[in-house]
Amino acid sequence: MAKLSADKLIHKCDVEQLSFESTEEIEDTTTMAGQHRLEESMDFGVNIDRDGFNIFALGSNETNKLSHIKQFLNERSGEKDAPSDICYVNNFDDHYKPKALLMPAGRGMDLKDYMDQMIEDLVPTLRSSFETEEYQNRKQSLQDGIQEQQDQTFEDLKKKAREKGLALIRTPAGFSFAPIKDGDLMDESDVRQLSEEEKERLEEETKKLQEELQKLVRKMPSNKRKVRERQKELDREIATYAIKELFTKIREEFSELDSVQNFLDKVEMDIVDNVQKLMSSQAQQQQGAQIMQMMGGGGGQQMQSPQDSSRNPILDRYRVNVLVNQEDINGVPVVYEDNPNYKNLVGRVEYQSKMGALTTNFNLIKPGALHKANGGYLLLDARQVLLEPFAWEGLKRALKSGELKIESLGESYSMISTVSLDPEPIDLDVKVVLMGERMIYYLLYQLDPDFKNLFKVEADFEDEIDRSKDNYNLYAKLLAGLIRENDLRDFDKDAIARVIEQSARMAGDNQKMSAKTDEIGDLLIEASYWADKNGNELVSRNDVEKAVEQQIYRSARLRDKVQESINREYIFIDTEGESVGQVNGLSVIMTGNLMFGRPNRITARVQLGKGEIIDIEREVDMSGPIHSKGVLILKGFLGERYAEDRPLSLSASLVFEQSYSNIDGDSASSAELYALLSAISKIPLKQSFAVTGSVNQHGKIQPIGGVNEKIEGFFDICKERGLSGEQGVLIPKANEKSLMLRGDVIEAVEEGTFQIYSIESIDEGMELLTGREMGDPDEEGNYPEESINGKVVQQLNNLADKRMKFSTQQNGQN
Amino acid sequence: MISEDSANGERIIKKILVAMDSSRHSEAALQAAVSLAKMMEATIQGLFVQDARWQQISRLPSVAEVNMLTGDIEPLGADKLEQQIRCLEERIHHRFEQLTRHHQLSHSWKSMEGKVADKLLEACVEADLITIGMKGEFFTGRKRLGSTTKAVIEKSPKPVLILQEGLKLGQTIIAVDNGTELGRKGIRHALSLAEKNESKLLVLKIDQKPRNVQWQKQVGNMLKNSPSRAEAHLLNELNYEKLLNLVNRQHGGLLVIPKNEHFAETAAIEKLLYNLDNPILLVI
Repeated sequence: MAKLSADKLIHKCDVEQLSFESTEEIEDTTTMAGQHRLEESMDFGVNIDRDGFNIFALGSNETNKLSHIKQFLNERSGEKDAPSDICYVNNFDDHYKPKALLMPAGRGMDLKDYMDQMIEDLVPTLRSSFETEEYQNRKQSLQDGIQEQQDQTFEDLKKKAREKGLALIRTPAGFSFAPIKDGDLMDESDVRQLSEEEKERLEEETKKLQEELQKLVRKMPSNKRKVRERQKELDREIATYAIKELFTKIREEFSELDSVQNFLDKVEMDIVDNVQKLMSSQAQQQQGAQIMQMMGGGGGQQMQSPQDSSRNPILDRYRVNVLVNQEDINGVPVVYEDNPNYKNLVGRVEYQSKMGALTTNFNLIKPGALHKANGGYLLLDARQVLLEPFAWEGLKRALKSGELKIESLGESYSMISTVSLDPEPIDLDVKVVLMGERMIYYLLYQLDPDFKNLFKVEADFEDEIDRSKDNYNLYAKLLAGLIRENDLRDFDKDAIARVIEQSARMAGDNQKMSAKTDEIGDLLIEASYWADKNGNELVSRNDVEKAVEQQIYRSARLRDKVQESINREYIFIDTEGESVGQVNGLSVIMTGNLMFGRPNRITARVQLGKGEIIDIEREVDMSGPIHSKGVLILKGFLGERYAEDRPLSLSASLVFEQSYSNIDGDSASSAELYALLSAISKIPLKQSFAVTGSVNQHGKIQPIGGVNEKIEGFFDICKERGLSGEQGVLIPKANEKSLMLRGDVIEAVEEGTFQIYSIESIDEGMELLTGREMGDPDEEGNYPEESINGKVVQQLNNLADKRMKFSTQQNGQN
Repeated sequence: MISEDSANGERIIKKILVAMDSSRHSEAALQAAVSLAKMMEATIQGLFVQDARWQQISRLPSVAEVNMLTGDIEPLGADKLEQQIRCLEERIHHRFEQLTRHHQLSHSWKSMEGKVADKLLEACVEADLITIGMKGEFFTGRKRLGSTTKAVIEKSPKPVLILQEGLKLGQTIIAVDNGTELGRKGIRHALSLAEKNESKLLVLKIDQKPRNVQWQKQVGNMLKNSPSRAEAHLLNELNYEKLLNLVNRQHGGLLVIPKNEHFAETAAIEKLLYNLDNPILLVI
């Protein structure tokens, strides 16, 4: 048992140990300090180049994992060369399966620009070649050659018929030969007058001529085909020549890239094969909305502007869709996707609505985060990935297969059925860094069999950093890093010392500093705000103090209400006098970001019974399992100490008075034991004390959490009622190193108006609370009569006697 | 003769006659006629002439026909011919009805029998304009006029619009002004069409010697007062190649030529049709 002096109530940060005057002087800043395990894990994860060694960064949500990891990876990203640009181009053999074209970083956009320019120039170039007189003449002569041949045969036939006395007549469905006389058709009587020989001759000639005509008619389709073929050949010849110049520059620019040369070959071949289609679709586009749509020959070309040609959908097939452009990055990409749904991860194919139908092409392929991060690092929030339907499965599939395939979910699940694309998959070389709470990591590890094979590197963020001189200066670098990151005013060394002290308070341990950079960052921002407001150039200790106070003040409405209820005696808490079976326990309440302590009256009542201890909270299901466990431990203590040779013949009930919600935790188990011992021994307990600490079966006091808040909670009540000098708190000795108390508490202890005792056993606590000796047993095991133990044994013996007497009477009656 | 002019927008074409057969040139003529009728709010009359020679040959013994699509040789009796003619007329008539009804035009149909050119000339007396395909027969040189069309051009008392397969009236109308009365009529026609169609009008003036200053003023005023986009080009010498070149450069549509020009003779028209892809309106 020790009465703690003021210097033990807080572990001040020695300003002398800080090697700077203000954070301005700190050049070598960081946002991650004292995280050696994490750094080594990340280092290992980044350097190991094996499948499945992706990283899961786990740690508390209050730690800004994203910022730390981003900074770490950005530092490393420059060490490697930038990965390839990813482009998609048309597959001229199968339009539904676009080809992937990987190019050195930055070259993708170059190729796209060249191709766009080529497309703009293509139609005018083609048209000027196809409008030349040479082409027109050759085309005409092709058509005319065959047509004229056909016409000539026909004319010859006509002539021949005429020589033979026959005329060729066009009938509604064909041609017919009829005899003529003096240039006019014969009528029936003329024919009748003909001699039989003449009739036979005419019939014979007619037959011959009909057969010749038949041949001519039957040859027509093949003639037409011949014309078409020759025309196509001519078009190919002219087009090949015309576009050669357009491609020369592009070919030179990309001479070292075979894949581009192959692509250009295919484009050239396609243009040559489709030259008429390219030009005619152009002509169709020009048709205006005039009612008559009058077309004069194939004219109007000079109205064509370059923009018009770029809008021609057929020409789009020659474009280059640059999915990922790595031109501006230095080293490998570090990509954080803040909306990691399926589409944003693996990419998607978009559709355009045309006349009510959905259509698509390779130009509508959009990249996902995996595309953008390919060759580098992809940062994702594990919880968000898991919340998005199909995203987790999509991510795993990509990592398992090692390739990136864009698949439409709608089609996979037959939600939509429309013609879609099947883009060529791309090799995936990405290091995924998932970030999440520890619980998510352990759940995934346990429940998802793929997880351990895909995320083999565990990068665990520490929640705390040891307090030492070296670490102070390291921590100051971290604070300076946060100050720079948030663009805040610089802090003087005193302010930094105060931040370190507050950080220890956040960690709940005066030997540690909190590594939860979100909370620390908020404190720095607020302190900088107050410095601004107070017109301070540098943020001072007072500004930090103000920020801490204001943080608490803003959140403390409920705390103040509770304290008000106690002071106005709606909630009964005694801070003076003595009472049997009644003690002030301490509990903590979490509301949002504020944790505060409040005293609770715990009472115990004892009567004759069979040794049961009734926890009223447990009976009404208002206690958690840890609390129930703490109460059951009390029975073990009582049994061991007082009931070795006779049964515990009592029935005790324990309750948290005026508690209207669930409670859990065992930090009140010592208080319950004090109340119980007081109730059994009928020795009153001083109400000027509040107690905390859990107890084991041997009566040892064990440490608890939230000790600072608990002490301050009781102090505030006492202060409000007037400090008598008698009041104080009993805390477990192990909690001495958790103490980082508020200034006013420390002052009160210094002045002797408030006391804090650290105790190791229930005996020490009872002695303080009662002012009596606990009493040691003599050789026969008997305790001194006036000692607490003596009184307890005496009362228990009385109860045992009563019980024995009672049961004898009962047996006698039976 | 053309209905006389009509200051500003009065209809100068009130009735259009379309000579119809089964050829694609005739289809182009029908479409052009429909467009014009709609523009000019004119009535349109379709004319089908049953060739007198058909009946004549059908009465001859053992006449056969070579089918134009299949090349099959089949006997052609009177009944069969009758059926073929009926089918042909029904098909052409149906197409005519389809287009005119679609454009809600006032229309009529006429069927005649006799020598085709004679019947066309007979029918066109009642019309203000006759539209005709450049040829009907299958095997005639690509850009040669058919015999019926030739006869109509030569003898028609009314303006003739000659169409060939695939052509429509265009956005730019080109009129040749040779300084004669017919030339002036041609310009009026062209102006009227250009105004109705909101299209561009290009007048190619052929330099006249001696110059008719008054006439040039009149034409100038006509063009100036016109709401359509009109331009005049002066051709110093009437040169056939120059004409072709100009028309081609303008990517013009309808070409309006007065009949009394020497390049309006059939051979010259054939040449024009061969070299240009424009419909030609001969002003008579």
